[in-house]
Amino acid sequence: MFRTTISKVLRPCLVQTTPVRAFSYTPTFLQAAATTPATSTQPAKPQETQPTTTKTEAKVIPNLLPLKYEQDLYATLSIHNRPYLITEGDEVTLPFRLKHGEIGDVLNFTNITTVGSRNYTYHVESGEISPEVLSVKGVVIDKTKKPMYVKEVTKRRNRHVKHHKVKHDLTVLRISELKLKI
Amino acid sequence: MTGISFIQQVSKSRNGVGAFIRPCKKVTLTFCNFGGSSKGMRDFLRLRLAKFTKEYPEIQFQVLQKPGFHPVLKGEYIGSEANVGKQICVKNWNIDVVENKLKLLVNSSGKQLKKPKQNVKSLNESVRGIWSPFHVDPAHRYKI
Repeated sequence: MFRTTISKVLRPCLVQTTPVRAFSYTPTFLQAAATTPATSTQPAKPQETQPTTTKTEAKVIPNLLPLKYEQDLYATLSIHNRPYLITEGDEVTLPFRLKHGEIGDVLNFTNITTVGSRNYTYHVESGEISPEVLSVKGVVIDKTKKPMYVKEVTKRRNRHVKHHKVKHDLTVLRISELKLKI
Repeated sequence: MTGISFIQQVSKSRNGVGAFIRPCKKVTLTFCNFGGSSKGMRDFLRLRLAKFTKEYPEIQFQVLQKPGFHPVLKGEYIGSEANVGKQICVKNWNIDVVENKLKLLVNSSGKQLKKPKQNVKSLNESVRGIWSPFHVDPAHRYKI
């Protein structure tokens, strides 16, 4: 019923009080080295160039071979500072209208915080997993809106009520690729 | 081929993973030659439709004259929305509004407007698995 992990790769888990998933341990050889605070960009438009690093020291990419051998991968993207945990083929609904992409356009995500599998996690705090290491692509499949609703704007002890019609925009992406390039 | 048991799987439609197919397949524009509410639509058909259709070669555009009725833009889509479609009445609106409404139809997936419950919809099982109390490291087990 449960997929049992092989005892060799079973790593110690840190029991946390709130979340359901308790394991958040990363073996030391997979922890990212100190990364430079490069200018990170938002989800790239189709003609996006790579972000430039301000410091001279090169980023150290740890050995990601164990991750390469894994079957299923997930990644945590950071889109406008909001995290989205995705796997390949997922539909991501963004709470805004994508100005620079029409439906059918491919987006290359650059701000990726985490990539992981069942047993291993590669996490970089500032979302700087290099695009040479991991490639995450999304296709814009829909630019739609939420159903209209009427918002009542009023203050306490004031009988005057303004009614505003609200119809927020949404953009739906499909993650077409989530691949380790190393 | 005896004894070979396989798990039958239904193909999962994931438009965009391999190739992306535009969900809108057909657009019908109806107009009235006499009515004033159709003026914007008539202008669009005369001035801008030819150029617009060239940008979307995969969509079938159909123009119908419907005397006595308001002008309507109708879109037909593929997939689960094939039977429903979308329609926008463009009565008394000018040429630019008609074009914008047409763009809305053409760039839509055909689905009904819905408030998303979750931001990420997935057909895949969870990568890290469901938590199990039996697979927690003994040092971190919940102690009664």
